[in-house]
Amino acid sequence: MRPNKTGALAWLPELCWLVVVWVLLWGSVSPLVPLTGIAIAAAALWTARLPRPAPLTGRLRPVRLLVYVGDLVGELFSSAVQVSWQAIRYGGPAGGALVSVPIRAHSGGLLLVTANSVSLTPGNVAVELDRENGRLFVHGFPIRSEREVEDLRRFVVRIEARVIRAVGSPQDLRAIEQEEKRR
Amino acid sequence: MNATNVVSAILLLAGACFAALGGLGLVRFPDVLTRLHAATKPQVVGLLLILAGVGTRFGDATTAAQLVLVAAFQLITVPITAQTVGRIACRLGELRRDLLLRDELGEKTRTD
Repeated sequence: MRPNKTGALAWLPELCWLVVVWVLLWGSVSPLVPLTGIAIAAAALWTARLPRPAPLTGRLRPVRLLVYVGDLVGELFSSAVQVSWQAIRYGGPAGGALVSVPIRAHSGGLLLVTANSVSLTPGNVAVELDRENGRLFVHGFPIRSEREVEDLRRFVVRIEARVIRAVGSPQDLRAIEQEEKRR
Repeated sequence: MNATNVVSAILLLAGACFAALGGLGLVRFPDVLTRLHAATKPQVVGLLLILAGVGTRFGDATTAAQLVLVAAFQLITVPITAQTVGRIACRLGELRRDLLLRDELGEKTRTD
């Protein structure tokens, strides 16, 4: 764990992000735009008085992040095709299942990214999170057999591993690597 | 008709198809949880394709950056909305348990 940065400096990433959004919205980089952007972003952050956001652990692995984004886009498309096919299929859609999946990610930010990725990939929507017991509840659809239930569970674990590889803390990364060795 | 126009037209049409299929899913699927699937994936992909189509048509960096911004916010917010709706549906019991092959969330709630 890194010591928590204190004071206004801790908000720098959020400030930068808001300024970038502002500049993109205006679609121009004349000096006035970033300057007003900084003023407005600072005012917004100051008035919102958000709680300190859950850090993503502060380590980005660019190559794995690219792998993660690539996989996510691919899976998003295949899942859209799957769900669309279910919508057209004659005879109505098949049933689903609510499955509980053990999660290993510890930080809130990581959990958020994992749950979001799960909801964008084929057949899954994350519906409930039990942080105390470290479980994520996922609705899978379509699910026709017990084997598909287990496939879904393994799939969610794989997505989480991918998220941890891309942005996880060194501890989380070690944990999943050891687990994979044991398998 | 040049190549850019053709590509853009294909992307726009494909996006519209996905959006329409998402809508069809909303009508045809039996309960909240299954409808969430229709409301998230085909809808997001449809929008991404339409944005890509618009981007190819304009072909300048400023527009592209703005479209990327729209896409990013979609990808961040849509799953969160889906999760919130799904969670409320589960807590209120607004789901067809008879359609679930396995219901581990229900088991957990009963043992709590």
